[in-house]
Amino acid sequence: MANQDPQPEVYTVTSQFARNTTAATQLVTNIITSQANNEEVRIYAMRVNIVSLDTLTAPGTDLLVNLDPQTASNCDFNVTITVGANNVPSQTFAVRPTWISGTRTLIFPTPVLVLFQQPFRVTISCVSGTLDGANTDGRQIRLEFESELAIQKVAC
Amino acid sequence: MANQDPQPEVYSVSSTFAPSATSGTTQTTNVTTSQANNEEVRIYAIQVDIQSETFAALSPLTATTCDFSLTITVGPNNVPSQPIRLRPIWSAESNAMYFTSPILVLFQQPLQVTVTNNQALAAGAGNGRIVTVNFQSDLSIQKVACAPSATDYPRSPMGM
Repeated sequence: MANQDPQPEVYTVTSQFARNTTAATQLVTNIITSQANNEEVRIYAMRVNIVSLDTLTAPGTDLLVNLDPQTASNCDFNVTITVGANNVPSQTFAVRPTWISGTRTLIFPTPVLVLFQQPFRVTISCVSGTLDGANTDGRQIRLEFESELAIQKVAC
Repeated sequence: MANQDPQPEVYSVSSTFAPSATSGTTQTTNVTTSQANNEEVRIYAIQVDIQSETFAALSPLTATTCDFSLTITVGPNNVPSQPIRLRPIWSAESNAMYFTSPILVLFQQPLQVTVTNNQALAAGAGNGRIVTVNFQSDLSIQKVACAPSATDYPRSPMGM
């Protein structure tokens, strides 16, 4: 339910891949938009960050360490955005080109539209897999979807 | 088939060049746009990433043997008509190049991407390259101009 019209929204998806994850492992996250039947969500951009994930050095406490996109290995991830029954964009795309850019943000040429009762799902696939040499070989990828929630306009 | 109009699209093309690949080696990828006969794709920009074939990161400022060219073929022709050098784009802060006007892909036009290695790669693990190009695009239903009448019939190609 919108508190204002339009209302800015940032949906964050965090997926963790432990060390020694096999290539092509997928993690799926369902996003709850809490929109009413006369409201729609528009997603304008996607921001990416990848950090190393260490779950072994301090068991029970995840240690996150920043990674430099120009030197970090095994950070090849693909993203699929599913809205309702279909993928929008229709194909899986690589996020590393966005992550290594200065802004770390992919701006869609046109917004992704999520209507009432359409499940909004994000699938992150670990293309390269993760290494098993050090505790810090795990990877955590975080996507932030810069969006807005608005009441649908009706032509009268 | 568009789920919304217009619909954002990101087409990812990854081309892998093994170690010892000779200069002039090409990798061609056909992109499936799944567009209907009344839909068109417009490509606004490309993003570039280059890493080693072992998924090790490379610095655009210091990495060697990362000289690749990109040719985009739409239907029977290349658009742009000449190959594009990728390293200047990869080295840029934005990591992207925005076309001055979008590339148009119509129904049943094959969209083909060719990446060419301009420099022989060294032998040994870690000297191969993975070139990833993201095409920032949208898929939309073609707009039909209507005659200025109450009926709104589509305007004929003859302008009548």
